[in-house]
Amino acid sequence: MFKINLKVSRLCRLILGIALSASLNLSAVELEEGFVINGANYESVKNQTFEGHVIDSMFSDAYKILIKDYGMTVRLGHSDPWTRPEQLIAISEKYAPNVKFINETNKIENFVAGVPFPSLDIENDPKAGWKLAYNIVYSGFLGDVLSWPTLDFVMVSQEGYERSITYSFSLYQMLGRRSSGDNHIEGNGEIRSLTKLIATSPADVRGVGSFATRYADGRLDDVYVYIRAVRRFRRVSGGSWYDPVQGSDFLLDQTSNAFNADPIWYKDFRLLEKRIMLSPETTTAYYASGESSGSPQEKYPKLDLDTPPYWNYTDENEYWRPREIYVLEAIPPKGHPNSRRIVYVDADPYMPLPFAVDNYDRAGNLWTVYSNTAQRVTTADGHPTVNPVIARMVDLKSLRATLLPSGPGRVVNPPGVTAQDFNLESVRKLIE
Amino acid sequence: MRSFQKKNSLLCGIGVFLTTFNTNLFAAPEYEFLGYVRQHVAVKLQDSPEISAATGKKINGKGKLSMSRTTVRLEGHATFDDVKFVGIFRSDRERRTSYLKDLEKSAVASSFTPSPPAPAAIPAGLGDAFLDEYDNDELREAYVSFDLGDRYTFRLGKQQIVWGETDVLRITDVVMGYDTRWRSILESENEELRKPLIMANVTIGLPELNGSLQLVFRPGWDDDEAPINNVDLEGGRWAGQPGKGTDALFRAPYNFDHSSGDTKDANYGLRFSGEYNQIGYSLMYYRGLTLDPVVNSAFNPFGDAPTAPGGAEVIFPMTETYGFTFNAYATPIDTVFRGEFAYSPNTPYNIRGFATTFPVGPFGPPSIAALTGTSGLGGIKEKSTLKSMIGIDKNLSLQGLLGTGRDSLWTSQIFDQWITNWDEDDDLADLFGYGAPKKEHWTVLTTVLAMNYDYDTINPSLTLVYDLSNKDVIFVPGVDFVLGDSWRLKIDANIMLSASSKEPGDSPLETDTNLFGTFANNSQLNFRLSYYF
Repeated sequence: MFKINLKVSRLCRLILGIALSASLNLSAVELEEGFVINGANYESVKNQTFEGHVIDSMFSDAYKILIKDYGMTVRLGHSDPWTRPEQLIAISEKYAPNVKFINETNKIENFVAGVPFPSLDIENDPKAGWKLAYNIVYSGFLGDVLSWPTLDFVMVSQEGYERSITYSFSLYQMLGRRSSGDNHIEGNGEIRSLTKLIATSPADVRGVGSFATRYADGRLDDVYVYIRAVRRFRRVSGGSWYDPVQGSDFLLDQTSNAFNADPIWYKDFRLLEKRIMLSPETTTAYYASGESSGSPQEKYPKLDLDTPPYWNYTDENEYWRPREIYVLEAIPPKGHPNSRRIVYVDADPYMPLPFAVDNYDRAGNLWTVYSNTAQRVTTADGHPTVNPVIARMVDLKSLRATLLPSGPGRVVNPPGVTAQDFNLESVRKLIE
Repeated sequence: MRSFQKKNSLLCGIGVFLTTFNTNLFAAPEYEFLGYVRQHVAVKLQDSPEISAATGKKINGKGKLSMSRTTVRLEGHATFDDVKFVGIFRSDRERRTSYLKDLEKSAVASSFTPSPPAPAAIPAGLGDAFLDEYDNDELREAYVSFDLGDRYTFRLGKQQIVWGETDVLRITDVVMGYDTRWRSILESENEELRKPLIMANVTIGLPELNGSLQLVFRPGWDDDEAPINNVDLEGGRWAGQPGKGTDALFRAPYNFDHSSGDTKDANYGLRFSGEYNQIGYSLMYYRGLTLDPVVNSAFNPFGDAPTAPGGAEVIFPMTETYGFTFNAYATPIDTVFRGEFAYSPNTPYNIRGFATTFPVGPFGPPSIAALTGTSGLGGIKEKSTLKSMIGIDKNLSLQGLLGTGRDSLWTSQIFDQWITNWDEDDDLADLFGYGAPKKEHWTVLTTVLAMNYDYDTINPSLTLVYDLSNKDVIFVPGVDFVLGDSWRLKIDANIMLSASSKEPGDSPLETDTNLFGTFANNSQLNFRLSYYF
C-alpha cells in the first residue's frame, strides 16, 4: 500500500508541476523595448520574455552576477541585424571555399581574405570551435587599418577611481586586406599585421611605446618597446602576449576585440552551443572626452565613477538586443593566467564579434568578466563595420575593474596610411 | 658671430624649405605641454674619510644630506601638419647642505698652492669650485622634425641621439656625453644625464633592405663643454675617493681647443639599422671626441703641450668608433639576446709614468709618477680597443615565490673592454690620479631584477654591478611607487662595496684602486618625489 501510494503521490506531483509550468508560460509577460533590467527587479522579471525568449536564458551566469549584485543595468532593444558588409561577404564567398583546415595541426591553408569559415557545423564538426576562432582573428571584420588616437585604460577599485593611462593604438593588416582592391596581401605574405601601442598620458608613462609584428604562420610576435626615458628601443619577449597591460585588469591578448592572439597559440577551442543572448549596442560615439586634463568624471562623462562599484556606466543610447550567439570555449596554453575562457561570439558569420568573455583562473573559478558594447560605424572607405565603444574587465575576486572608454578621433581605414607608417622609427617619431 | 650667422642661416633655410614643400604652417596646430616638478633628497650612509683642506679635519658626512635638489622640467610640442617643434627646458636648484658646504670649502682651499692657507684667509662666498655646477637653467632640447617624402625624416636642432643595446655602460652610445657630477650614473632615466647637442639628424627609410640609414652631423655650434662627459673633478659629492674636497680641475683645467680634439670641430657618423630573419641589427661609424677626459702632460705632451701653469690639462682627443649591435628572441627558451661591439683604433689612455724616467743624476732617475706624486702624467697613448657586451633578458614567473603581480623582468649582461694591442710596457693608467695599471681586459657583470606588485603601483628592483676584474660591487635596491595619476615616489639605496680603495694618506702611487673602487664610502639613500603634469 505504501509503495503504491508513493507512486501515486509522485505522479500527482508530476502532473501538478507540468500544469503549473504551463500556467506560468501562459502568464509570462512580454517586456517592452526600453525596459530596464537591474538588480532590484531581476528576480521578478527573469521569467518574463522579450521577443519570445525568456529573460533569464539570455544572460550568462557572469552577467547575472553583475546585474544582481553589482549594479549593471540592461535596457532592452529589439533585434536589429548588423548592416550587411557586402564587400566582406563577396570576398568571403570568393575565397572561403578554398580554405582548408588541417586537423592534425589545427592550422589553416589557402587563406586569402574574408571570413575563412562562414558556415559552421556545431553538431558534427569537432573543429568548429577552431574555425570560429580563425573567423574572429583572420576575417579582419573591424577593418584593415585601425586608428584609435585615444584608448584609455581607467582603473577602479573598491575605493573608487584609481588612475588611468591613455594610449594611442593603431593596427595595419598586411594579410586579408579588403581596402586595396584585389590585392589582399601586402608584402611577401609573411607578416599578418603591424601594431603600435603608445602611452600618451599621464606624463610619467608618456613615451613608452611598443611596436609588434605578428606573423602569418603563428610564430610569436616580434615586439620592441621604446622607452623615452632612455631614448632607445628594447626587444622584449614575444612570449609576453598574455601579460597584463600595465596596471590594468586586461591581459594583452584581450585588448583588441577581446581576442588579440593567433588561434594556434591556444591549446584548444570547442564550440559548445548556439543560443539567443542579449548583446549591447549603442549609438553613442564615444565615452571619453579625449582631453588629457580635467577630473576623471570630466574626462569620462559616461562612467559612473562616483557610484559603487565604480565600474558601471550610464548610456541612454545603449540597448541590449537579442542576437544569436556562439558559445566558444577557449583553452589557453600552460602558463597562461586563465585555465579556460568562455567567449560569447556573435553568430553573424560576417560580424564574429566577441562581446563577452568569462575568464577562469587556474583553479577553474570564475575570475574576470570581459564585456564590450559595439557601435555601428562606416569605414573611411565606405564599408559598414562595428567599433567597440567601451570594453570592460571586471575582476570578481578583487572587486576591481578596468574600463576602456573610446575617445574621439577613431577612424577605420584612414586614407593615406601605408605599411611604411608602421615601423620602429614611426613609433619614435610619435613619442618624441 | 660666426656661429650666430650659421644658426640664423639655418633657420632661414628651414623656413624657405618648409614653405617650398607646402607644409601648412598656418594649419591649426596641435599643442602639447607636459612636465614635472621633482625633489631629490640623498642621505650619505657612510663617512667620507677625506681630510678637509680648509679645516684639517675629516669631512665625514654620514647621516647628512648630500643632495637636496629641486627640478622643474617643462616640455612643449607644437605640430603643424607634418612638422613638429619640440622644446624641453629644465631648471635645477640645489640647497647648499652642510655637507656640500664642507666639500666646497675644502675644494676652494685646495686650490691654493703650495698649500692651503689658514681658514680665515680663504675667500668668502661659496660656489668657486663645484657648487654652482649643480644649478642649471637649460634649454635641454629644441628641434624641428619633419618628413620629406616617404623615406626621409629630418630632425634639426638640439636633441638627444642614442645608439646601442647596453644598460648602464656605453659601447656604441658615443654621440653624446653625460653629466655625472650630480648623480653619477645612478639616475635610471639617463635622458636626464645625457647632454643634448645641436645636430642634424636624418633617417632614410630603406625598405628594400628592410632597414633604415641614419646620418648624424654635429657642426660644433654647442658650448665648449657640451659634447664631453662631465665627471666630478672638482671635489664634489661624486668625486672619486680620496678626491672629495679637492679641486683637481683647478690644477689641470679643461682645454677644449686642443689640436687633438677641439670641441668646436664637426663630428659625424652614420648607423644602418635593419632586421634579418627576425634578428635586429645595426652597423655604425662615428667620428667624434673621446667622451672621457684624459690629461695632457707637459712631461710628455700629446700634440701641443699644455698651456696651463701646472703643466697639465684635460683634453678630449678625436677618435673613431666602428660598431655592431644585434637583438634576437629565442622562442623555445623565451629569452631575448642582445649584443653590442665597438672597435676604436685610437682610444687615448693616460700613461702612469711609473716606467718613464729622465736622467737626473748618478743616484738613478725617478719616474714621473714618483717625481710628481701623481699617476697618469706620463703622457697619452692611443691603443686599439674593443668593447663588447652580451646580454639576456628573461621574464621570470615569481608570482608563486614572491607574490608578484605579473612576470618579472630579469636582465643581465657581461661587458668587456679589451685593449687589443695591450702591452704591459705601455704602463697605461686605469684612472688618472690612481696607480692601478690598465688591464688588458676589464669585465663587468650587471644584472637587474624588476618586479611589480599591486597592479604595477609598487615596483621594486634590484640592480647589481659587479666588476669581475677588480671585484668592486655596486648594489642598488629600490622601489618605485605609483601614487594616482600624477605622483611618483622612488626610493633607492646606492650601496658601494669596494674591494680596494685609495684612502687619504695612502701612497700617491697606490696600485689597487680601480673605477668602482673610487665610489668607496659613498653609499647613499635616495628619495625622489615627482609630480607630473
